[in-house]
Amino acid sequence: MFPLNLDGLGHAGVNALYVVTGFFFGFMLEQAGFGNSRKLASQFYLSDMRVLKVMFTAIITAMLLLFGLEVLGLVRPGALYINPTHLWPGIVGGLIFGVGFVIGGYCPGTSLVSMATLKLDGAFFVLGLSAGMVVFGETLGWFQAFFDASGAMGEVTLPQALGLPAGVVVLLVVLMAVGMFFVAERLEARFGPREKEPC
Amino acid sequence: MLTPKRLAATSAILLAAALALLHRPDPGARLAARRAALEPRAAADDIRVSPEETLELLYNPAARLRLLDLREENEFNLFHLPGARRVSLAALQLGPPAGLAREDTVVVVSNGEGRAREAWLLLAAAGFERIYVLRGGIHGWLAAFGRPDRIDPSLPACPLDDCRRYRFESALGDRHPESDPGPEALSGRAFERKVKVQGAQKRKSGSCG
Amino acid sequence: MSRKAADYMNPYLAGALLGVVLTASFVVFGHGLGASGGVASLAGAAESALLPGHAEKNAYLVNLAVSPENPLDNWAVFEILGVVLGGLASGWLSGRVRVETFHGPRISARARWGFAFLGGAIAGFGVRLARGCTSSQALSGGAVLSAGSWAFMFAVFGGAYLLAYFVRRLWT
Repeated sequence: MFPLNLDGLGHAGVNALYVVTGFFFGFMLEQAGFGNSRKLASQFYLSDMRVLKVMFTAIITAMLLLFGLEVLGLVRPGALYINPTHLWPGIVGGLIFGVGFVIGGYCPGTSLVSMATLKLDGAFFVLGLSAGMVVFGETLGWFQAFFDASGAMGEVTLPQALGLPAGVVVLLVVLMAVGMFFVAERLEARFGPREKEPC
Repeated sequence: MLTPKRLAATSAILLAAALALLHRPDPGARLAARRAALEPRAAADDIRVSPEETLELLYNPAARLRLLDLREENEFNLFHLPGARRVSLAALQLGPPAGLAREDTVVVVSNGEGRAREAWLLLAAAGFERIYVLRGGIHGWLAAFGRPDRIDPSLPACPLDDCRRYRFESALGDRHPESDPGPEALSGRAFERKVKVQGAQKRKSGSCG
Repeated sequence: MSRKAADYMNPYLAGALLGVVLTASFVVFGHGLGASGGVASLAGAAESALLPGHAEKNAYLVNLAVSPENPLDNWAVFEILGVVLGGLASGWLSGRVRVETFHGPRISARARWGFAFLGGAIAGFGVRLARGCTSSQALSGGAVLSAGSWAFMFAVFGGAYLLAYFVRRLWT
């Protein structure tokens, strides 16, 4: 039955497991080329759609595996963390984050990987992240109510929001992802690099 | 032409379709699991509010008080608190009632505390944080604000005092004077306040959230 | 790619493997991956250290930490430690560990540093407002179909695409 019971491992053991998980996470990010801001930014110029490919492949892989485990009855109900929906802070924050992403060329996870491989722009991005987060903490008092309550709907899943059975939503997401990959390949063929770009 | 990409894409779509067909959704399961985890808290004192505090909240618009009544329809029609809304446990097991916002202060009411505690568990499991149980239920309210002869000792009691022990001559709902004794009824009474109401800004300027 | 660095992995394969790691996180810990939380904890700890008495008590950090007295004792910090190690390992095995700066052909490396910092600051603000980043919201929340996470994800792509034309000098 999942999730596993980690009680026997002790605090240090669990923390070690987190390090191991992060290791594989960071390893795959770097393997995908996400330690490279030019590769990441190419997504938004349609020349290299790997951000979309990696992200959505990862999401549908995990979604199918987890949903499969649930169908098999191997997941304790209610035990998987579902991010609570704070709709407007999420959307506004997402837009702001997107702006930062295309200017800075990274997101938090990829900037750490970049910094790990000694890229200076990655390191500056991480420093910038910290600064931006501190600024957020300092200014939060001005928009606390928005942050706390705006669109605060608790745990809402897409099936609940759309009024569709979970299985249908899973299928629709897979179809949407495959459709996006198809379009992405077309866009890359059209806008991709004319010559081999330097790493 | 079967490329690896097409194979992968087709497999993913087929797998999703198969899972969709096999899936037997259990909408109450998640809620039930949460509810079980919250069970120890349902009897705790910090989630029970006194009749006095409830009356005070009734007269405080900033509190956004919502009274949810878990009793039978005939009991509800006999006597209920001002503006109370009747809901059933069966309905709560499927999810929170429509129209309830997270900023609302919800007080759940039953004759004693039996059904109210269960309702508290179900609403807390659904993610609501500002939920409270009326201490003593209707019996507690009548003990605080009702006529001394309201409680009929000949009526049988039951666990958590959830069986009706009061009598009214006619079913007036919340039009009985005892339903709303007015804020004057609070003068001279000392009571604990459990509910924090967002009123004046409580954050010091310049500090972080 | 030129030089002796290995080619990057096929994105679909990398995505699938990343999805397996993500699934593993859920089945082991009951929750997905995260990066911004760890950075936020470190930033908060640094702020407290540099500005003593200006304790940053905010619910986000407190919720993550096992003990409020030690805000660094939360899973996100340990996870990003692993992320750095994993990134380094992958880069080393592929011959991609080298001090350098990625930048578009029309700007200098130093200008790129400034924009990386600026972009990071904006991203840092947005990530906290949204209560997560690509790893914790888009990937993890996306996989369990959280509505807010999907909304966030589309907003990120939206914000980036909308601005891309105006900052094209940075990259193209």
